[in-house]
Amino acid sequence: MELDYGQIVAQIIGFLVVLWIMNRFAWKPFLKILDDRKARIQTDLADAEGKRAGAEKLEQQYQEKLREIDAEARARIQAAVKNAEKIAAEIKDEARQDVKGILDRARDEIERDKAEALVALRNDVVSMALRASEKVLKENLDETRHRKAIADFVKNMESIDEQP
Amino acid sequence: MHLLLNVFPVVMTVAERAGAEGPPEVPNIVTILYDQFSSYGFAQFLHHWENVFFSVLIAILLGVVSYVASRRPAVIPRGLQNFMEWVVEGLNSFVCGILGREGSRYVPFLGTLFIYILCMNLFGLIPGMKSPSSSIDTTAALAITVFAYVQYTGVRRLGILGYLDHFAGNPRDVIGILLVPLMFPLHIISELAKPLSLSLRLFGNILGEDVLIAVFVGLGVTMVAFLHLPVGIPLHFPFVFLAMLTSVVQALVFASLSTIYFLMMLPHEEH
Amino acid sequence: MPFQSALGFAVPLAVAIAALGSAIGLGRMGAAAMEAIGRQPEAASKIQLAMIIGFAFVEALTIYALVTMFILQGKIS
Repeated sequence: MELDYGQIVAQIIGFLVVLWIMNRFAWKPFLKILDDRKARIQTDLADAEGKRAGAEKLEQQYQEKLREIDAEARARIQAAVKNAEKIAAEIKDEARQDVKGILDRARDEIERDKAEALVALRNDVVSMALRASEKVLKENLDETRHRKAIADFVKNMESIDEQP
Repeated sequence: MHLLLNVFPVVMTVAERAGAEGPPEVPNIVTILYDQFSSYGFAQFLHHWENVFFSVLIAILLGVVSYVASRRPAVIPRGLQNFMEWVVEGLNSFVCGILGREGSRYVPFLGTLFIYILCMNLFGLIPGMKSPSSSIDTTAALAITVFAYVQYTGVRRLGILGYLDHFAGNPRDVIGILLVPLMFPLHIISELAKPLSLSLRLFGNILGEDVLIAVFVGLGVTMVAFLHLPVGIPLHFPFVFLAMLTSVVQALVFASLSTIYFLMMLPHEEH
Repeated sequence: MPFQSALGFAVPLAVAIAALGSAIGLGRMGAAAMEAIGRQPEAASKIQLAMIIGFAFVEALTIYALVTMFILQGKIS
């Protein structure tokens, strides 16, 4: 159990050689590989994060656009409904006007027919009275006197007619 | 593993060697050669440099393995490269876990220390081989290397004054200055005791485990010696597993204690 | 008593006593570490590392006795 200094020195040199070999062939390349991989994974992760953020932004944009489209469609539908209501109102107005016109016209016509009928009746009555009085008083009465007397008569009749 | 060894005819010498000077040991390539050619110069040379011979064998083995593993680095590691990456990453995280961020500078040294000691410890379990770390010379060499590197790091990182300040126990007040004559020799003794305890621990453990195996191999051989056959009962078999455990633990302890010595020498953040 | 006989008694006894002491120490240490791991399983790796390093310190004492034994062994015969 005695220290052999020659062996110690030899072992120290041996260990230093092992250290050099391992440093050259194991530690440097493998630590470099690990570092590279770590850096790569980090960049990949950052990349993925960026892409994810982009996708999120895009999705938000799409959502916004969809919402816009939705709102526009609703506005259009509302506008169309309003338009339709307006048209319906117009049509109703028109129809009402038409009905009124038709009614007015019909009333006018009726009025006119009535007036015509009155005139015609009056004429008929006049001529009937004329013919009757002609037949009755053929001989001595001249026509103008007769006409006057009959007109008075008719006037009286009219006033009677309008009474009720 | 020593099962194979039992078919060696020379194994009979184990029983004879048990009583000889020094602790018993299982014969290895070098002792077999020496037994056969003890009068030749090369056998005497090999016998004298037995431990260095096995250390060089381990060095060549490690060099070849690392060279083959790192020859063609692939992005997706396979086989040997994968294994080496696992080892390197594990040791890197281990050392950096203790030393912190600046530990990466000492990873090659401490990692090589661990791998080298582990290989040396396990080498003795291969039939025909011997653990170089069962010799005090080898472990003393490793401990001296660690000691030298730690002191160099201390001088380098703290500066000469900081280094002396560290040895004086960082006196900052009157009591500290008064305690300097006490602290200085204390620190020097504790600093010198570190390589001693490191080398003796490793040496004692590995030698103890090898002697245990050798004793049981010898026992197994002597139990059936009446047959006059070159066989033995593998009584040492359970102790091989114990030896594997001890080898790993001792390598880990050596490496982690060295790491802690570095940690104690590096400038502390709380100061 | 010749000093060889004295050594023959003393050396194994020395290792045995040293082993006894460090066995007690290791046992206490292991028990404490196991308890700590049981209490905080997530810190198991750190506790294990500290435990193994502590084991090494305690065990070293036995190893010193063993080394002494190896040194003195040659003088027995």
